[in-house]
Amino acid sequence: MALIEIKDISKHFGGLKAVDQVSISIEKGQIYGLIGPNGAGKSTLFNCVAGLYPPTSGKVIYDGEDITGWKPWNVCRKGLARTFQIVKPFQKRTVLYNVMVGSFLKTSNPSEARDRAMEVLKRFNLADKWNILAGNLTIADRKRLEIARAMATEPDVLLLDESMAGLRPNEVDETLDEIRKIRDSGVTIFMIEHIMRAIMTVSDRITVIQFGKKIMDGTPQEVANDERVIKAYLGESYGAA
Amino acid sequence: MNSGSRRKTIDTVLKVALAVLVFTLPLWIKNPTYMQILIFMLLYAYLTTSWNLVGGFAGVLPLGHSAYVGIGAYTSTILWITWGVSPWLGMWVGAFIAAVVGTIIGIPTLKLRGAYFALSTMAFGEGVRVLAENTVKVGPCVVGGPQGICLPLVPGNNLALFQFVSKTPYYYIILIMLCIALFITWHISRIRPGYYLAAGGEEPEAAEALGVNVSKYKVWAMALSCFMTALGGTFLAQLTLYFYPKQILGLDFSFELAFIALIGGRGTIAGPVIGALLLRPVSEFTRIYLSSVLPGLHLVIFGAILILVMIYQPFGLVRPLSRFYDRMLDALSGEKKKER
Repeated sequence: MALIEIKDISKHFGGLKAVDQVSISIEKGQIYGLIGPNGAGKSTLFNCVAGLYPPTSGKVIYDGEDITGWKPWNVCRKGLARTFQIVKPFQKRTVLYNVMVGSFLKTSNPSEARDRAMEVLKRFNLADKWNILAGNLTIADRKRLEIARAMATEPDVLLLDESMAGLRPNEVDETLDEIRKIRDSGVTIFMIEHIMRAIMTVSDRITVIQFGKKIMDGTPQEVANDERVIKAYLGESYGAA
Repeated sequence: MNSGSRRKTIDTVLKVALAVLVFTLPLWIKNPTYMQILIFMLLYAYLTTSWNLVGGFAGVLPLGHSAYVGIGAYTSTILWITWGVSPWLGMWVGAFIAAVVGTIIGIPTLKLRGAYFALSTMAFGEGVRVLAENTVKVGPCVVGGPQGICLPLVPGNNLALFQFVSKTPYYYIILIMLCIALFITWHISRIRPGYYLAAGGEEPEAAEALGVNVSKYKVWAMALSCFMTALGGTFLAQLTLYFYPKQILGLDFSFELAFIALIGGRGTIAGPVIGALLLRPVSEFTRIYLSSVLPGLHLVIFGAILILVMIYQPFGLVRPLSRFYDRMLDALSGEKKKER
């Protein structure tokens, strides 16, 4: 059985159907990509899974348990950690402090939380910056901190919302390596990404949505060659919309 | 490193000297007026430290904390006058009531952001004042309406009834209360709830995504803050032996606590103490020398100081002062090193 089962999720904002009857099933250990043109409803779908707001209808089943409409902190405690598209570091605090907020999920002992946080920082090449205020980091480091902080909660699933947007090509490659390493450590990854090269190389499976509706899902190869996807991104539907 | 250990020694010596000075101050100062000013300084430092738990760490701006001072003062005093319960016991009852009220007020309002929370707490504070001003008697309990309550005098220094002729016991009581409050905030800032509070205060969505039930921690901080504030309220009642709604429940009282925290350094441990040390004398002396000319002038001066501090030291005066202290230690230990 799939680890995450998203069943016919819809989210309406007033009359707008931001997400309309989308179903996705993610296997354990996969890197699962979610793509679509701007405004397709990717982040909305993500937020429904992560508990930022409840879906209008549909279900999210995680590991056999219905987590639809759970509050974000409960979703996180259940083992699904997320990052935000617009990174939200605790700017007035140090990098270590930021990650400790994450590592406190699994321990209430401050020195243990500190040790675990330092370990996560080492993994993400932030160890030498532990004492810098998060607000003073570069964009690339903030994005990395965002992932590190989520990983400090020791999740089983990592939800990445455009972790590579705004990065330089070599930084994108570094992040891709990190994502693969995270997957290899046994964490299932569900990610939204705009950078095609990135998501095509790293994903095991991809779902494409447009105007809130699922167009298709398949392997990166299948997606890249699908006519509907090419239309969605390049033409025809652009004029039709 | 020799200079490093020397630096540490000097640091310790200075801190111990400061502690000794603070604890022996009543031996040097005999003038009761100055003692009173010192006691108020400590009381405001204590109240602001309590305020800081929610106003500093939880990142919201409560502007109605005088309500909880009032709850503490009224509860312990009414219990004593009506049923003869010692204020030492009554203060805990008041603190408990304040914590419950704070929780009830906090659950809906702490979900509000920024100015909306500040306004709603302000409205609550004013509501409590108006209520107290219009209540003369509840059952057997005298509330006193706008005239407030005068505590019956007890002869001599009576520890059991929390009344003293000499100022010295008050000084030590509030000093110990302040030390405990500072210890509590210091401790909280180092454990999980402190991290969660600060995180939730700064970026609630991010904190929630990391498994923090932000509202729960904020309400918890509010309850503790109100609890401690009310203990200070009882102390204030026992110190002045007379209080009335406009004084103890007034908005300017609430504002003063916020001013002290903002100027000293909101969300820091030493900030409230430094703020009180700086602002209380301003408040006292404007009251003594200028209140006949312009009552409330101290709030105008506070405002001016606040604007200056916010422009030049937006995180409060703790930062420049601790930097100054560090540099002084460097200089002292450096000089010693050269001598050697």
